[in-house]
Amino acid sequence: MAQSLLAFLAMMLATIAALNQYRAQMNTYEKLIHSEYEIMANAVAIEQIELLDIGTDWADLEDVDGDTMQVAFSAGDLTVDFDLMFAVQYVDENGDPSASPTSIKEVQVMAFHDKFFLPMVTHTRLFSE
Amino acid sequence: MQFMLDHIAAALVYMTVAFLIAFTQIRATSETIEQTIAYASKKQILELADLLEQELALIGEGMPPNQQITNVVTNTQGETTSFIFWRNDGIDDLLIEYRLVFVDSVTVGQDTFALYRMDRYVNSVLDGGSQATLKNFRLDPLNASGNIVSPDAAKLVRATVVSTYPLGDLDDMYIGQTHWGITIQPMNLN
Repeated sequence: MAQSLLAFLAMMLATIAALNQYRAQMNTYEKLIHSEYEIMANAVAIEQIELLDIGTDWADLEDVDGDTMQVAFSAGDLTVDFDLMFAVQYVDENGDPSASPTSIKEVQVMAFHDKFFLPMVTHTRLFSE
Repeated sequence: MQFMLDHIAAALVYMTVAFLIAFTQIRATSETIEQTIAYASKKQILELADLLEQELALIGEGMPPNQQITNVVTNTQGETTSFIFWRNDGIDDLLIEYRLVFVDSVTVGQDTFALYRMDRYVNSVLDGGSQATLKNFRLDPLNASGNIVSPDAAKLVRATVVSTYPLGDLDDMYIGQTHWGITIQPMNLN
């Protein structure tokens, strides 16, 4: 009886070890994939901020507040779509949000992907009048 | 008879446990190797990214307006095979060229793709570049609307790079890819 229990215990421990290893491997793959999406999201978010920087007048920046758009990261035969969300607010000289208009606007771009619940990246840039 | 059955059961248990432990160990080793390869590939592409990010921002620095991006050549696969621009390092005028060089054609499973290396030339002298693991390399001059334009109309430069690395064993190999991209606004293009 005792021998059977020991044998069962040995097999159970070995199985748990194998399962844990498998789970760790899955976690690693998931992190690797997440990291790739993050880099791609970063590329599209930065591009939109640069386009805003050179293509939009400072006075019109709040027009994009609340805007959403879908932008693709393309490289070779790969295309990945990201949803971007814009937020614009006035900030003071310390970068703190200000309820009244100031000479500095903070533009925030968040990039989302369907596979992930949280934003992949968030970029913020300050624009002075 | 009971004695024999006990020995057979013990041998079966031993073999099962030994197999599980050996299998787990092999998987763990294989995973560690794959992680190391992926990390090395990521490190290489980030080193290239660092070079591009710093240098593309300096396009046309210290140069007259007509000496900025002088030529961009794209091959039929859409890769940028030559990207030439001027900059001044505070002492000399430097003509920088990023030249994409075909290295090999690789077949993995059903897929065949080209591998490239990016060579960096300064005044026609080879000076740095990338590893020969690039699958895609694009440098696109963009206008203020984000459309690809001719070099003399560029306000931004978008860089896109994909690097590859082998995974799995020889009988069951597949390719991992690591991506990087950025859009830069060189101050002297505005």
